[in-house]
Amino acid sequence: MGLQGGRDTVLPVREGELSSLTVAGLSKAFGDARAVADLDLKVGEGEMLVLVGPSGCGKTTTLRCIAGLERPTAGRITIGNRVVTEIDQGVFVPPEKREIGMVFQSYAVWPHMTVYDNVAYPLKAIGVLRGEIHDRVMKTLRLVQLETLADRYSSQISGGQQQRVALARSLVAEPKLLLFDEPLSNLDANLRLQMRVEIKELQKRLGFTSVYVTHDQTEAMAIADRIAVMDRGMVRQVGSPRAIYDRPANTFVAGFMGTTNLLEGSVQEVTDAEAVVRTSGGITLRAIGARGAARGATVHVSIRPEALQLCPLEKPAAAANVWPATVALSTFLGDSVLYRLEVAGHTFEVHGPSTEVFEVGSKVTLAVEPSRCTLLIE
Amino acid sequence: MADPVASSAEHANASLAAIFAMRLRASGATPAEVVTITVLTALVLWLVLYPVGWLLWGAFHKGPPGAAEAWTLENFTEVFLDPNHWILVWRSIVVGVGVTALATAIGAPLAWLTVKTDLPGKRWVELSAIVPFFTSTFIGALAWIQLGNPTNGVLKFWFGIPTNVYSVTGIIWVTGLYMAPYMYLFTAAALRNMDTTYEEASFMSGAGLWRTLTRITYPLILPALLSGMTLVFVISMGIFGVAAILGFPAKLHLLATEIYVRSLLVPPRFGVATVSALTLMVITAALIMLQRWALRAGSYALVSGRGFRIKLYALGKWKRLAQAWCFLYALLAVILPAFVLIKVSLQPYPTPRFGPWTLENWTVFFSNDNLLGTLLRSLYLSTGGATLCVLLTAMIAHIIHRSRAPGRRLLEQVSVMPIGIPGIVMGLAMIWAYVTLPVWGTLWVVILAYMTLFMPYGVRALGANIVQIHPELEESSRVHGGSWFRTFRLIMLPLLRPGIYSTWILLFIIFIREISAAVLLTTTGTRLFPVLIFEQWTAGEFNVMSAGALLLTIIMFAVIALFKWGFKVDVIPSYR
Repeated sequence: MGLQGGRDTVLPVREGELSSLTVAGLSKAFGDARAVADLDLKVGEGEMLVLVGPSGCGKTTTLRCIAGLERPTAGRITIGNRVVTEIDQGVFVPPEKREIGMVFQSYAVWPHMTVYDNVAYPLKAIGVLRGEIHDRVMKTLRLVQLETLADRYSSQISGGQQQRVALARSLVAEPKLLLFDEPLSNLDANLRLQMRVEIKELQKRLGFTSVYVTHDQTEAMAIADRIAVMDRGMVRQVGSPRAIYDRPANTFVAGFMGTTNLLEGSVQEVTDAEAVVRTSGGITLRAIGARGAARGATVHVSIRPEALQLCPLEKPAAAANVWPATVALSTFLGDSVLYRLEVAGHTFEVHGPSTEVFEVGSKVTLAVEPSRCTLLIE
Repeated sequence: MADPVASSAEHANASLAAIFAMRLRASGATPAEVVTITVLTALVLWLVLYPVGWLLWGAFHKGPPGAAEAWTLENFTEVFLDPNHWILVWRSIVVGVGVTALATAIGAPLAWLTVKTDLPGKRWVELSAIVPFFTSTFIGALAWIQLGNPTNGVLKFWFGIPTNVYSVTGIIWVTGLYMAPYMYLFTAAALRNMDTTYEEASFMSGAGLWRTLTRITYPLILPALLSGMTLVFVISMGIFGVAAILGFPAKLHLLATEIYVRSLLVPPRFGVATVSALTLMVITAALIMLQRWALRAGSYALVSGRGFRIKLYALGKWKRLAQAWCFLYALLAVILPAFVLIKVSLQPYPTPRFGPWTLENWTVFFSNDNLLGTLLRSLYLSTGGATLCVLLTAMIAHIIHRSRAPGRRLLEQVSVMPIGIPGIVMGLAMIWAYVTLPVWGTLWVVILAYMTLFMPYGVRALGANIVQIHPELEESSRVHGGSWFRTFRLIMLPLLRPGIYSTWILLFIIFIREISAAVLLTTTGTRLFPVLIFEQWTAGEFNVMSAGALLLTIIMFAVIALFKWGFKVDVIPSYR
């Protein structure tokens, strides 16, 4: 499928590599609406894959299909070496038999049970011996620093602590796969940053395999080993956070993952690694990622705001792409200054250092390395 | 990989069963779930349609239930050609409209005052608006006979107020007074759930209080008001107890009492009674359909999801008037009736005077095996019936709100259908349906009738509780190793416990005070307490039966108190 081109080009899980979760041809329709359309995913052992995308892109539906909370319309899901869903064969293992853990958006900490009982629940459900339960619950509670709150009820602990209870509960039975459904979206900003680090540390320490759903691209980049960017039920690109950010495969990913300047233009010249593009506004620039681009083709070029350099007009930077520009708007952000610049009919967003501020209306030089201009065919 | 669009196109020509099977698989319902839904739907359909079907059958037959002869249209011609029948229809509609208007005029302002204003002593106002809900119209009528009868009523004797409760006005007055709590509950719930910012936005747009009330508040709570009014109309159209004890002395009949009288004539005229019952049911069903049609756009989502404070209007100089209005209602619906029932129950014969006094009316209950036995029988029936009904409706409500299996919509529609069946109609239908079966003459017939009639209350009340429980609480259990049954037992049931308790009390109270459905169904061996009060009252035992009515009220409040303080359960019924 053309739209999924990025998947094959960027960091695929190689054939034969140990994979803890395989999703193949997953589709889910609600009535006439298709939430997930023929989706493939692989997650390696001990890897954290983040599904990210705008609301309604199908990421939560995908996660719920993996959990067994939704029955897909078509597709095959394998956890470890066990097929848990294969619609063609009529295989559908109910959620409780999938040996997974899940952290929900609402935490779903049962209000009629203590912290201890919440965490002990998965062990009791699978019939772990009584003597063993206590040790494992307390060990897990220590892991999330809740050992002193074991006797509390959910109404007596904070939102962050409830989040940790949910985490401990999902970990306690040492599941093959851990699922996170926007676990941090109900926390306030500071706590969110802190929990993000804690989840990442736990994952590195315990080495669990996990799929993590979020709509927050910053969170996705901070926590992921690999990111799958989803849109309208399809994966648009899979790759490391770095690759996704620096080498977006298409305009959707470039626009969704962080802010970017997208310029439309046509390819003038193609060399091994670079292409020369003439934009609709009439400026010429050199960009990388030219593989597959043909002369005359209409393309987009993505340039991140922080990749652009601003210089005073009188001492132009030594770079391949240099254009004169006018400052249309400048917003002081504390650690940096956000400019809006006019260049030959294009508007650029640029991050500049707060040490040197250009006034609105001043003429400047805008420069960017070709290696930081990404050519996008889609 | 199978494309769902293509595969559904392939199946376009498949049989209905195949399509159903495909939808079933796509919904992700487990086999256990499908079996449960099928069994429940069949059970509910049978509970509702079996007696109603027999009622229809009976309308076209000569002769009494169990010994019906040939098919005939005579019942219809006899009833429809009788001008008296149309007078009864008209009078019943007048009563329904009058009661609805009175109950709304009392209940809606009370709700607005308690929810939206700074009225002092709200707890008391709320209490006096709820208490009549639990006491019932029938007991209220017994008290109002003492207060407002034309010969020796307390109001006439002591205050010179000429009142006559033995009239259509009397029936409307008493019923409306005791149906006002329904309107209070519906309105108060809607007002509480309404985001205050809707009204604040109106004020910010320059509208005054009156404009805001009429253009913003009223349209927003209108769906709730209409639901409440429909319920009140349907109940009051079919009301039996009040209509009988206030109407019989004046030879004043309504459709509901006419059904009773014709069934008990010697020889009984069941065919004619059945056609009257059908007339009554057609009117109530038509009204419910009218309400559904009026609300076809769906009710508004009044809750914004964010937490919000309800802004209270300052009553200012109107405070005294508002308090007086609330006190007047408490006086007429609670204080005076309670006072007069206690008075009469302590006197040897009916009199508006104070004294002479006696305790004999009370002691008779503990020495008379018939009275005590009937009281105990009513307690057993209500305890057992409420328990069965809660179990049934908990399963139905859980499926309606949680399952995605096809068929749940049908279950939902059928389970609320009995709202349109008046109690006395159900009683007559049960006779037709069960008179030849071995369960006839046992309490099981009564329990079946009550469960069917009041199933909608259980489904609604428990449904309102279930939607409060986040689905992720159950999903979380499933994902962490809990089976469907384990999840229901360890997560759903404990979380639903307060809702189950409050629904149980609601049903217990409704069951123990119900008279319309029971009056045709119970015989010597299965006599229930409210029916006994009714029969003894019409036989002239005013004083003993005043004590009986009080005893019934005391039992109801004892149960409420037990749950409120013993199990810490909120007993105010909830409506969606």
